[in-house]
Amino acid sequence: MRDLKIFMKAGAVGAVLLVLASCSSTPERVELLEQAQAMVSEVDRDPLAGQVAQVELQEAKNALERAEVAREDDADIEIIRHNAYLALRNAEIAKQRIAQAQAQREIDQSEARRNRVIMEVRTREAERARRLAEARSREAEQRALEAGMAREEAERARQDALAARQESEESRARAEAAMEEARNLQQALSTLEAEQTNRGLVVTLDDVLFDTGKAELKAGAEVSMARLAAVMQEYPDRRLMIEGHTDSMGEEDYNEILSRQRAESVRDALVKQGVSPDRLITKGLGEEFPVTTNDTAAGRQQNRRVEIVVSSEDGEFPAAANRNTMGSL
Amino acid sequence: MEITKPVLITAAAALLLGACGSSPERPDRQLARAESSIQQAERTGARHHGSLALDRAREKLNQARQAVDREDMELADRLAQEAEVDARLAAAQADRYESEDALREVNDSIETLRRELERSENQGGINQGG
Repeated sequence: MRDLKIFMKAGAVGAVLLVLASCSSTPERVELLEQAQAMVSEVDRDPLAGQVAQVELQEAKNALERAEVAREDDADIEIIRHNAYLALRNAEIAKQRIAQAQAQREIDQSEARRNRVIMEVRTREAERARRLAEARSREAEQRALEAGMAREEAERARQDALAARQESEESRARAEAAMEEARNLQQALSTLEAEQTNRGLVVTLDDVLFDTGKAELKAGAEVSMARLAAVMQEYPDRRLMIEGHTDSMGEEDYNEILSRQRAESVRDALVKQGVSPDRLITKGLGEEFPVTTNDTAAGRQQNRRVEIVVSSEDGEFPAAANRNTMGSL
Repeated sequence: MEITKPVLITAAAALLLGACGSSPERPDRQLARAESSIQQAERTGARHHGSLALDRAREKLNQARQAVDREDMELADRLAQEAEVDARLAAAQADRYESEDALREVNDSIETLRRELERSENQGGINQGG
């Protein structure tokens, strides 16, 4: 009887240790959770969210709550990351639906505007015809009285004003066209989740598109690369700077090599899709430019990425885009 | 008492294992949902637009199936959930892209109309005598 009691006690202590060991402790901050919280509250503030994205917003909030409860309970960090991920993506879906609804609304307004412009065109054409008839009859009356020179002079002044107006309109149109091209480029790259940064437009390829520790880009990313190549065809003056990054695990030199090879792998995929290689620059930046902490598995995964920076329309990259590793070219 | 001793120990062991997550079943329903979301996204044209979210979704679904083979059902379930939400994001992006495309077309046609209006306005004065 006593043996049994001692056995049960030892077993209980051992079991508690087993439970503690297999549920790992969590660090104070989980960055993905903070990103998710920020985006969920941003979407929540938008009045359109309730109309067009209620389901996604609610799912995001539920996932956020699960993540926060898991964090308070000191649960496995993977559970926290997973729910934060679901919350973030659902909030992003809500944002897409809101943007789509806004575009739809503007289409309706634009169509009304187009109809008004058409009406305007017709009205003015009718008006012009009427004025033409009037002018002709006036001219016939006053032909004898009008001095030919006075009419010529007025015409010349008018043409000068017209030329000046056209010139300023042309330069305004050129400036607008440049801005429009920048906007169109960003929209063309929207399915590649391009972000506007101080370095220019940046497309980021997730670590999940590469095999662990390998340099080859998975076949599944072919269509995205085809998309990027197609955009490069449309904008022939642009170039791309392709930068590989790793997390801080392992040797620095090894990470620099692996990150360079990943960048080259992306370059090769684009060349295969028809992009000329002299429009592509590759760099292996290793572990030097993390975007988040390397202390957590989730952070390290985020740091393992390939960034593709798009040049301005003269093919140049602003100074902020030129990151180099220490001691390299 | 002799019979219940091993029963008690086994029950205690089972409870302790359960404390850290019992062995769940294959997450078949979640895998099917992920699969169907991916197909739906491909129908909306997300594939045509070259969507990174869709690439992620497909990769995660592959990883989920590999996790099932390794009998790590909890990981498989989580991966399949993330694949599903990424696929739905891809579909939402494609829908938005097409709406913005349509908006651009309408605005372009208005711009063309307006320019024609202005041009014929400017010509109207010169040609009046002709």
